[in-house]
Amino acid sequence: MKNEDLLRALNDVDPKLLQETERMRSRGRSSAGRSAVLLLVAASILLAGIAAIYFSVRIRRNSVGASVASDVPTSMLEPKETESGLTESPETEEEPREPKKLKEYDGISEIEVIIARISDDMISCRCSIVCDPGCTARASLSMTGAGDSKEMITKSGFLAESKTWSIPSADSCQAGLRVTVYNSEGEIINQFSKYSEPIVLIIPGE
Amino acid sequence: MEDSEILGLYFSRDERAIEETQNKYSAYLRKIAWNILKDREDSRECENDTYLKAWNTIPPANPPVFSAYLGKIVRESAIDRWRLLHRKKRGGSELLLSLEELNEAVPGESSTEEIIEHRALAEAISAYLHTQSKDIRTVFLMRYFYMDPLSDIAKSTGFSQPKIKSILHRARIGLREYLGKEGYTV
Repeated sequence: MKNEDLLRALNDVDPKLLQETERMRSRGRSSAGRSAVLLLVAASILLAGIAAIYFSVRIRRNSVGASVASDVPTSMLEPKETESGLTESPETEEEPREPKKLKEYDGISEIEVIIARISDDMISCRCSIVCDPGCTARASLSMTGAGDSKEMITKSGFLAESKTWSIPSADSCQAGLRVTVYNSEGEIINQFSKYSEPIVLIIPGE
Repeated sequence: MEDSEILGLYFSRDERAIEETQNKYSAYLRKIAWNILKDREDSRECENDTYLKAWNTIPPANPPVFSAYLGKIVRESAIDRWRLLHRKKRGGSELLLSLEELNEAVPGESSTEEIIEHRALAEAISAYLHTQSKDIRTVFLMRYFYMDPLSDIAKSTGFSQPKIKSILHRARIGLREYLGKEGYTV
């Protein structure tokens, strides 16, 4: 007798035995299915957790911005119509940040400098800084054409301040933030300047 | 749909029988064929052959376990196809291939003596398996009837692969002894 005969003879074994075996096989398939579902659920929970952490960090950072916004008159956030009829929208201040550039600032995970005209003769600048864990930043906020500046230091890694100046006699002006970053041992690890977008004060041809 | 209802469709020669069989057993049949052939297209052809053969044989056949009946057909079909492909791959002579093709023209599958021998052997194997525990016989049939890989058997049974190998080894030795007592020369 060859093994091929055995192979063929197996084809005619008791169908009840096959049925019993088939039950076991399908149980394996369903348990594999259950495992896949469990894996999927676990992956979803993990992703949801990561997303929650990500958004909580974002919300915390945004709350820094919100506290700054509360310092700034609401008119700063409203669109202003220039004399040429163009709308000078504060949305330009809220342009999407460029996270890639932030990577260049060692010790700083987020930084923002905004300038906006709040009345006919006043300009407001605001800035916010979020330091990397363990880092501290000292910053000096100034504006082109302004005589003074504002010195600040982060507390618990955060900083959110604003300053108002009279409009300088210039075609345009820009806010600048000079930042010095210290590590947890008090050593300077980075120094750089961050500038706001320039704001047009006199429309050309006016 | 219940098997009895599907069989009812076969008996009333309703062509929905094939559709319902496919709906219920397509994955099952394809898996058996795939285990033997490892080829998607060939497996699909074996599956289709199974539907045709079921249609041609029911009635008069009235299988008590419909899934087992279909499983046997697809297994047989896949083994035949594997053998044919294997011969071709080995560079089988035209003579062998011609004989294989002529098999289709020969009425009946085997001689009466062969059929009886074959059935007796099948009964002996079944009898041996009935003497074994449920775990042993299911592992044995998963491996040698359904040709499931050891990894699949491990998943279904919860046994480790070394344990499955050990079970199979002991089952083969036991079957050899059993068939020897029954007068078979293995």
